[in-house]
Amino acid sequence: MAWMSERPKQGARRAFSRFDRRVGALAVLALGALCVLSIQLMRLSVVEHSVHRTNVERYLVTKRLLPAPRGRILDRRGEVLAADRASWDVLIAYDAIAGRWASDMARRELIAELGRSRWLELSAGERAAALLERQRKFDGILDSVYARIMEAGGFDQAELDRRLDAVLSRAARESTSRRQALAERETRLFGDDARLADIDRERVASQRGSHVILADVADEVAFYFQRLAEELPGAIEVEPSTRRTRPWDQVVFELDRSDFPSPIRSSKRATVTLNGVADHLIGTTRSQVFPDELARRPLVNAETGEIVDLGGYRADRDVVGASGVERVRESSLRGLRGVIERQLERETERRLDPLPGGDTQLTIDIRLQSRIQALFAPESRLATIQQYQRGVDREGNPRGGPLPLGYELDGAVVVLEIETGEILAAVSHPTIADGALMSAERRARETPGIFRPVEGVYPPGSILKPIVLCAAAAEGVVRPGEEIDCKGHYFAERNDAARCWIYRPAEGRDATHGPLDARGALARSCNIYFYTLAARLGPERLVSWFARFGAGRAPGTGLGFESSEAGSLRGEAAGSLPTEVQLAEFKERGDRVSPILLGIGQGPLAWTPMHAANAFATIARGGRFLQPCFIRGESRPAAVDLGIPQTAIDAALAGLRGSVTEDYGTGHHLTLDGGAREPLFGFDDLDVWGKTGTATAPLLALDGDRDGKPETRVRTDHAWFVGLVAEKGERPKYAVAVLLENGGSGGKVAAPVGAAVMRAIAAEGYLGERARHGSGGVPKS
Amino acid sequence: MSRRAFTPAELYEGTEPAPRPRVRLTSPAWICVGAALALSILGVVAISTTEPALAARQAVYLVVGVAAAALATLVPPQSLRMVSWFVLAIAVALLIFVLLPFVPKSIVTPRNGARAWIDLGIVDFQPSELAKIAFILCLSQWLSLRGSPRTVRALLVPLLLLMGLVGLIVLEPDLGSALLFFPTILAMLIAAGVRWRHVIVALVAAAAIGPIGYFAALKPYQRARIDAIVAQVKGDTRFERDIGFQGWRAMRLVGSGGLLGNDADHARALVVYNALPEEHNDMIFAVVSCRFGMLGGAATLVCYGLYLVGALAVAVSTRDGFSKLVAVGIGALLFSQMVVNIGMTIGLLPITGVTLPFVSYGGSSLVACWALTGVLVSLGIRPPAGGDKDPFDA
Repeated sequence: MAWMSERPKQGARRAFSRFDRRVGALAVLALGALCVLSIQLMRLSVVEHSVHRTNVERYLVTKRLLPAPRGRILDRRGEVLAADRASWDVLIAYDAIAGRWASDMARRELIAELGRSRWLELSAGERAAALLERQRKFDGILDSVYARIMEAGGFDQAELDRRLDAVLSRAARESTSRRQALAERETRLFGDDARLADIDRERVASQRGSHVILADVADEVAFYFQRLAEELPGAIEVEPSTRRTRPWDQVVFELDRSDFPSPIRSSKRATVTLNGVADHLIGTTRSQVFPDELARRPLVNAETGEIVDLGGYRADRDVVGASGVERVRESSLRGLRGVIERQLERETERRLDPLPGGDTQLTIDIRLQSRIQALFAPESRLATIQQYQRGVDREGNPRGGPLPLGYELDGAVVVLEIETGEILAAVSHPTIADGALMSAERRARETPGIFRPVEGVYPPGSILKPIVLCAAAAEGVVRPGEEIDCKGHYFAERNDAARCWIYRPAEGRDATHGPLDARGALARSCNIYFYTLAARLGPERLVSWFARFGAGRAPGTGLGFESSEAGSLRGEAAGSLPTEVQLAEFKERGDRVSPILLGIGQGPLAWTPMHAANAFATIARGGRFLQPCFIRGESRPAAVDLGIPQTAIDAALAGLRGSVTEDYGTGHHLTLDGGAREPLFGFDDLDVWGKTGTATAPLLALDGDRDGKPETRVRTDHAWFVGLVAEKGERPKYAVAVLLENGGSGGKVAAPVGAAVMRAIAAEGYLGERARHGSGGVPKS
Repeated sequence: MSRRAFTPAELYEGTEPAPRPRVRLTSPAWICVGAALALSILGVVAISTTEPALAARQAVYLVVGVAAAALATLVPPQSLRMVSWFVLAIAVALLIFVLLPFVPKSIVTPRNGARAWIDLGIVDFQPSELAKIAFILCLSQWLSLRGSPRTVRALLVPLLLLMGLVGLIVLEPDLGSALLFFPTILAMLIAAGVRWRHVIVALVAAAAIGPIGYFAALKPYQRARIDAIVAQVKGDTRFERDIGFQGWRAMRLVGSGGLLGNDADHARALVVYNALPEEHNDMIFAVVSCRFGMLGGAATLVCYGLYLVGALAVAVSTRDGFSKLVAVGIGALLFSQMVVNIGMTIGLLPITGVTLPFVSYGGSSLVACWALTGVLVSLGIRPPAGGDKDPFDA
């Protein structure tokens, strides 16, 4: 090397000076540094190359999600009960609302126009002047956008300002609280070193995103704003969204009252507005997503931010089934979102269409459901306290009652198809929608949130008697045709307990039924007969038979779901049966009355109207137990034959038939003022079987003056009627359970509703064409 | 022979003009010029990947820079030696000026919270750049008069000079630029013959003070950055989405280049849509690697290596102490700046606002680097002055 040779002679003496050696050492150090850098460079570009490449190339693709319509909920005839309607939301960016968008756009446009270099050369003053002019232009554009929004939404400037202010004040609130929290944390951690200036720049999520200013617009409006959005990037967004519609949320119904008991009969149809037909059953959705849903099925992986499940839950907002069928069928109703993948580099798009959620078909008939719900409307007066239900005393004076005349009764009706176990109607009064119109006190008293057919738990009373008969016959403790003598009281030595209902010596009534066979005992609802059967069976066997008919466990209609609290089932009530402990206590106490009271459905027993309807359907099926269902296509356990002798089934059915066809039957007639008798089920073309029940209810707090403060507590009974109905001469086709809370006598209050329900079933054509005519009313819309 | 044999006066005598050839055209300094030219062109290409307009400007700056280098070549070392303390005075004055609170924002515009720039209209000027040059010149001047600093007392003035300048720059605050003074002075002192003992003591002290400083002196955000870089080196992606964002994006872009790099369009798309901040400036090496791959990156490193070799060879080939130390200082400064910048880009060092010499976009930085290269040439092409004796042969 040339310059080396110019070294003076000294170099000959010593090739390298100390300085040279130290410089050499520096060169070695530098070489070391270069090696470290090279190794890391190699590690990144060779060893980890593919990882990094995948990572950075992810940013070349943007994904936009398309909402998937939620599946529909249909009734058994395909009538839509809930469906998603596609719609659009128009969103405005926070920056535009806060007024920063115009200045940003002005700056961007100016730089693009001048080129960055010219822009950099401008003085601060020139920049500001040029910007101000542009900003005015963009402010004007934004104002015209707002004008279009007001036009499309049909609201005025004041409403627009209110919406914009709402966004700003919410963002300000969130921002303030976030900054406060950050500042407190920073100060706590770092004291005087706290960098509070940085916290002032912190923006919360609502200050970065866009906000819905115009919701639920039609396609053409959305299309217009979509074009605007492309022209004005960063200011407007149009997002597809869906709205859940429930066409039966409000229905106007023409109620036919011409077949009602004569005191409330009318030839004029009443126009009734029904709120929330079947709303308990259909259920609701919510837009808030709970943490357990996010944990179970997230849309994006929280750590990587990648979309992992197009059907997963979005943290900020999503549609989630909250109750009823919407809840239990959530996984099949949810669809898979679509996605538009945009390749930013090549400017190409790939579109994956959303996959709508599956439909769910219910077994109910929404028209029958509304017919039955209409019976509970105040205009119907069928489910209110009326004088004809109270009857007259011996002197012919009208009797009083615990509840005032006109008192509106809550209750439930279940209609079950016997052959299939499908539920045709399940009415709960009041509905959730009714409850929304109530005062808070009334809502607390009437609990409209409870779906009474499967969640309302009531003592069964006499409607349990046919089941006791079947149990006794199956166990062989009663012979076919065997007569049992009713002396008015069961225990020979005492007449103050375990009496028949007609035997009231204190009131001067000492009638007895005398010897009765199964049919006669059931038709007359004789207590003594069933005390005797209960005594012969013993309480353990009796309770096990109740369980075989479904009592004591959830009906299994498909509405039940595991609640988040471990193990507890919700959506359906199991009711209760006497426990072994309770039965053992009876024995210990030497209590001979309580065990036989179980034979007439009294004691520690409770069930839902669904249990009752299905128990009767089980008898009608000849003793085959089948789980009832609300949802078509869901698998159910196979039918179980309970092994009840045909003679017992026949006797039970004959008793139930007699109950409504014989003069002495408890469900045969109403006795009106002046002693006139009016048959309850005077149908020409239908056969009816039935059993009434009058079961002691808990004390009812009564608020006579409706000031929200109950002043008295009264003793009342729940009124039951459970029946079977068929076309003339056919086998029973439908089971009907009616319960009116605190209604009083089953025969006088519940049976007339049962008759109206059967007419409604006929009116919807379920009992042949002949029966259809001249029954029921018409749904208008 | 004892060290006392050479007094400062004798050293000056040695620099008197002598009847010898005025220039020699063969000099290792040309290696530096070649490397600098290669790096500058690489810079223009890399900048044009995402900012074609800025690349054109950079090309203009390059011409200005080369002119500045040519001008610097005309200044003989003796003259530099005489103006060195004057340059320092100007640098200190400007460093104080940018800190003055009442200076209008149109002149000193804070960037990223640092008052480090003076707006000169066409170009912005960073006083710390001048301070680096002044520091090298003055330190060389001082040491060349005093000879090898074999005692602690001899280190006093260099260290005071260091502390004063670093202190002013830290106040701006521009920690990255301030840090570069340390490897520079270390290299110059080693070359000048400081006792290894002292070097080791200083390094051990720094290693000891480091952890204490981490907890006591650093602001929480600075501490967080160090935490982030430790995590990043370990491959822990914990901070990727917040404070480690820039570092991770840069590192991943470097890795995305692979062996041979990406074509221009793809590289541009990757850099733009990964939203790499300062991609034409502090993070330019990420663009270089993404575009030209590991081979491009390695070639860049080789250029810097050659530049350093050239500078050190100039130091060896010159005779007078001043020239030797200036050459070492320039080489060390630019090389360590490169290590800090590339180190942060490939995820080995925390992110500081240090540019990549010759490659990063920026007029004042490019012109300054070329001016320094001109100084190297000036030192290199002048025939050795001074006596036969190596002034730092201690």
